[in-house]
Amino acid sequence: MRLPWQRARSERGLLGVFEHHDALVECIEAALESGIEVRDAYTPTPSHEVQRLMKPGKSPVRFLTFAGGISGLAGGLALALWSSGVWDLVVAGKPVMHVIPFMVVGFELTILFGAGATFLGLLVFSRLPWVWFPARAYREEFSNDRFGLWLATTRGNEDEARSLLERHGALSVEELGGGGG
Amino acid sequence: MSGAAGDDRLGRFPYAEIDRAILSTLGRPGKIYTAILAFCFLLVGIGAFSWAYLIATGIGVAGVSNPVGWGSFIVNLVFWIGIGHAGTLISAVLFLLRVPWRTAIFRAAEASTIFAVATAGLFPLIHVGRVWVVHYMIPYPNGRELWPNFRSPLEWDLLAISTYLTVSAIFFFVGLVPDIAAARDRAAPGLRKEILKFASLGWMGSQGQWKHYLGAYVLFAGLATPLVVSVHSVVSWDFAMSVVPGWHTTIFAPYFVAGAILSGLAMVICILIPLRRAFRVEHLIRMYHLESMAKLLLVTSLVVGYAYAVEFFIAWYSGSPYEQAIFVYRPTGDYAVQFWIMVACNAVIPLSFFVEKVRTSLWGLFIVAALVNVGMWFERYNIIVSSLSHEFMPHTWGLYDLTIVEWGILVGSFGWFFLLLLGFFKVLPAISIAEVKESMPEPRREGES
Repeated sequence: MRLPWQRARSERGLLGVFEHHDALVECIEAALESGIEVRDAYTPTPSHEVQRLMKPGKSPVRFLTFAGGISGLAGGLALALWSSGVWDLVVAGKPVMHVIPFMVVGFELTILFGAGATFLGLLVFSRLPWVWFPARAYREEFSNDRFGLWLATTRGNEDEARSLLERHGALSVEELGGGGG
Repeated sequence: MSGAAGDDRLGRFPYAEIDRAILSTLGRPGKIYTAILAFCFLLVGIGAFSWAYLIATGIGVAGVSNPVGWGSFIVNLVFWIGIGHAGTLISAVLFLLRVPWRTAIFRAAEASTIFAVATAGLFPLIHVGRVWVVHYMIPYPNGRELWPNFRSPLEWDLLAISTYLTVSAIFFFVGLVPDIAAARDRAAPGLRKEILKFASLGWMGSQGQWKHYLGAYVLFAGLATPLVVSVHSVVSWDFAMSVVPGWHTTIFAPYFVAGAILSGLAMVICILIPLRRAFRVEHLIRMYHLESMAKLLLVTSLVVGYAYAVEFFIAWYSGSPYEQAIFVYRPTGDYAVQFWIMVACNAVIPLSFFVEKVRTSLWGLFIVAALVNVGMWFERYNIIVSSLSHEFMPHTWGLYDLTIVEWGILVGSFGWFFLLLLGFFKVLPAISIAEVKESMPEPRREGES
């Protein structure tokens, strides 16, 4: 069995490099309409139009944030309550166990664990760190002023995909064969 | 992320020009930069020597004693935590409010936050004197079978500040990742490129990455917003939870938060004005950005001025002779000079920003912002020292002044803060490349942006 990244490495495909954002968006729309698989797109800044076409819906990171926040709240309150009970001493005339001052502990740990879980979620769902960097379809100009579109092709639709990219104004079209990073 | 694409007040530049302008700040440092860096090292040296002397000799070399047990170290702690408030306000709160002018300035403000909180974090260590037992404050299972007192505001403070530093650092790093990737891709082959490759986590701006990045970023902003309000509230409770006259008041939390934002904004203005000039990025950090910050500073100054007035009203209205006595003592007693510096710098001088000529002049902005920073240090001094000097019983009254060791540590803290900040500005982009690009119109076929 091949793992997902091993499959990606051996996939055939075409990489189109675009200068204009609207050309990229139109090309993705056309590819989706004609049934060509859009493998990925690289943009120097987040594009809501590209996201809407390729990755609609919300990121599941929020579920981890919620779980982290709840764990932090419960953990903070539990730590404060339990550790106060270890030595049952009245200090400054205040009750040994009291929820109101311990809510501060719970609140801070809610934020701390919530943020930690969000960071973890970001890494896991975005597959970061990407130790195989650079992916074979990535080019350095994609973080500057160019947009990349990676179409997965088969022997049957390669010409159609190439003409699609060229028709929509790709500056260059590059073949991505098997192997590579 | 910013949702401000095409706002003419931000300027219009091609993407490549943004990369070029921002990454050019990472070039070889000039003579002035090196001289300032050396001066910061000198200040850090003075601070380090003073602290080492304090550790070797004992806390008695500081001016803190009875009745003023909290002196300049706590003043500096509260001051630096306050400075650290503007970064998260600008990066998180203004992000959630979709304020367009945050994009070019939030990175420098975030860096200021991280380094200010890192500076503030030194002061509890210095203040306790015996720094080698400072870990007693941290809740962990230990051989002493002791746990910290979670009913104590000082313990809340530890949790609040360490959470703030951690969350701000994560938020800061996440915001940096696409820019580190841009720096990586523009760097020449070599060690620097390899380090940037490692630090960028292999970021490529693929759609899967952007999707989760955007999802996470808004969540970070949502988490950081209540946090920024909570941190200085908790710091204020270090005072308000006690029964000391002038401290025991419910207004302290909003009063401290407003003061923190005021001082943080003032520090960011003081940083941005020389930064934009030195790195020649005036076209990215424009007068529009500085004027918008000046307006926000003016609003927070009005809130702070209102809090000053309300404190006096409540002291009179409380009917408590002790409370009334401290509020007569502050403007007329031994620390009257410090009190009036505070009022002038924080509540009167910032009113000059009502005049457009002042808030659109670089010198006007810089001078007022610098004076606000001075005033905010004296605000903390005024609150902490005057109340402890003048508690309930006249025979316990006493005066406090900073010793030369405390002055050494104070100037050392400024050296430390600016050293970290200057170092950062030469290592990583001081302006967000990805967000500035996002605030520009996308390159389109029908007309170049």
